[in-house]
Amino acid sequence: MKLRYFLPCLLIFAFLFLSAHNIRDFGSPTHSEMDTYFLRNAQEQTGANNVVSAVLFDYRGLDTLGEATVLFTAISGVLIISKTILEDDNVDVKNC
Amino acid sequence: MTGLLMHLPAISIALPLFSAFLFQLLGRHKKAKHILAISSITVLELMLILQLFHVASAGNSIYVFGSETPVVQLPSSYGIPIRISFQVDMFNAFLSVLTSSVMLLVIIFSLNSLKEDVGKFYVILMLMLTGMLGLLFTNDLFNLFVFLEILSLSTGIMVMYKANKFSVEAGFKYLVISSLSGLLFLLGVGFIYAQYGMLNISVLASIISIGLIEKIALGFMVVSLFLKSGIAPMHMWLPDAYGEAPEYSVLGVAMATLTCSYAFIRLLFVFSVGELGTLLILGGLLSAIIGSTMSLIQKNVNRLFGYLALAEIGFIVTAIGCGLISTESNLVFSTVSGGLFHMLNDVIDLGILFFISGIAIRIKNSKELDNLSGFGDNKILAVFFILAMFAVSGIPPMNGFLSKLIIYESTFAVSPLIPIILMISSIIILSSLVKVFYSIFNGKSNKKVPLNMMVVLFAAVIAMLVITLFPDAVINNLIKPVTDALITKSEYRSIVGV
Amino acid sequence: MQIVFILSMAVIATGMYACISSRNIIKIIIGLGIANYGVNLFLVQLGYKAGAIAPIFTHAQSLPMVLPTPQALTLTNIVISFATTALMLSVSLFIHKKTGSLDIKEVGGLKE
Repeated sequence: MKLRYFLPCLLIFAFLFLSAHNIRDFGSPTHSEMDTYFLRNAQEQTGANNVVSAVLFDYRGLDTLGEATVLFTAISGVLIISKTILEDDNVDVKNC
Repeated sequence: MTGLLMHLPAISIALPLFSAFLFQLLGRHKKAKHILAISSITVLELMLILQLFHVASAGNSIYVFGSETPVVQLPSSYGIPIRISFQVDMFNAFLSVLTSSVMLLVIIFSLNSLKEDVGKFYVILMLMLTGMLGLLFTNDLFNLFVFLEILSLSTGIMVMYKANKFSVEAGFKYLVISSLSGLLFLLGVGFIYAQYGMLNISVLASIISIGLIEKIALGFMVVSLFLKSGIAPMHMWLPDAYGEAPEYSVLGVAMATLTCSYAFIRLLFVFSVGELGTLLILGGLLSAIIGSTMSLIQKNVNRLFGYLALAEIGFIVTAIGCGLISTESNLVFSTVSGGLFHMLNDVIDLGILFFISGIAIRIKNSKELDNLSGFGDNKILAVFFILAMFAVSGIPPMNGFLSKLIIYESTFAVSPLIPIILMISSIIILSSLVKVFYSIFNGKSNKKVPLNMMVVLFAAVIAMLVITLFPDAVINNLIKPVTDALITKSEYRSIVGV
Repeated sequence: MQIVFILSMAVIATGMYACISSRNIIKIIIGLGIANYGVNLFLVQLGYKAGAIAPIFTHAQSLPMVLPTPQALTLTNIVISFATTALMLSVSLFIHKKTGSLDIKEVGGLKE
């Protein structure tokens, strides 16, 4: 372990462990009205038997759109630098 | 008309997003891509201005995604909002207009600098704009994280757009740091969710009580947003990114970092966490010192301007941190309005500097200060540079002086040391700008400046002169309601039920 | 029962240490991946309720269910981290092609 990284890392670790120690108990979440609503109404409102997919695609659908946008962004980024990556490999990148 | 007004927050996200997808369908029609980019962003700009006027007259506008009526946050017969919602008040409406105008100028400025893959450039630019607008409007913590990731990923790609060795290294540095800080932000969101079981910022702001866990969570978030907006101890990626980003779009990267600083300003004010204001003041002062002194020894002109941008963000953050810790309502108002007024001036003035350096770099094809000489016969550029130089370093009677004066006067009440440090850093900024002036406007070469670049430069200078000549009108009609929207939390916290 | 949260924090700390201390680009990306797994683990743990079942109604017994929102957040974060990792891996390919090395110190042409 290099000494240069030791002190900042130790600080971050101490902060992380302190925060994990102070959080509420594992296995007994605070009463979450949002999740209660989902569990009670998801099947009836969205017709999905899996509540997680109802949350993912209906109640929090904008997050999923954003997630797809992130994928799209990453692909555009790969396309921009792909010309150099594929330079000598006899691959036609003109049409990418 | 009312339907359009109601759906404006959603449309302003959807328009850049879908035009980003559309560029792929246009094939190789270069002209069509130019037209699509300019027209879509102009329409967006007009809609955002309309939204600013609507918010100014009718109060905050709310958009709930996926509910029966988009303006009602609460589901029927239930106490708390469960869906993702947007909330537009004066503060983020103002910043959204600023963002989209900067992006419009960047697009016009870059029209003839782009060679082959115009489409890819516009796609990245539109995705950056989507990320920024989403970040500004959103009222949901996890949604904020998603838009932050879109923004930082597309900014990183914009930094390495030139695809040479140095730009890719700077982009990789930015990507690693921004994804690490994204993780920290998500951890913070996790702690808030563990404590309260909800993610809506308005509701959280009205029920939150600041204890240890809340401080830890907000500490995670603020540190991660500091990393993303490059405030001083975490600024190591910023000069590399500014120096290696394409010279015609570096202002977009600057705007992205400024938008990230919006997020922590909003969170700290709406949760009213006065204790973390000291963090802001320390970071801001350190940024002002480091940014101004490091700019003296730079050789790359955009890297130098990057350090200047760091110093100017330091001014803004210091003023807003003073507003956060002070309890007197008069003092809060004057410091925060100084900071926000400086934000507007900073974008315009630094924009002019970045545009002039973009013109010089494009003609001379080099970013080194030693190779940039030869604009001595271009009187217009020289006058514009001097005006912007005076404005950035706070010399009367320019607009930068007016906002810096408000900051000096109001932060003096918090601690007399703060305005002294800021003034010293202003003087150092002036000296490093004089250096840039002498190296650019030295010798003659009779080079013609492209028309589109001159148009953009004229637009920015006109904006600067308008603020310089009519500061009272700008402050009373724009900055005052924006500051009110930020510091009175009751309207942002309120929830619209049935 | 705080040991479970502390373990997930240990995973995050390991990933961050790998990310900060190593010089090899691939190792940095692996470190980021480990830190991401830690955050995902932490988010899923937030939703756990003792003695509860998965939030799926097909053939479900009438028992309390675990909270669904953290699982949705985790799914979104997995995809985002996947996209970031893919982009960074292609950047590492680029750097290797240009410089013939994956050492971040040797690549460095930028200075303070």
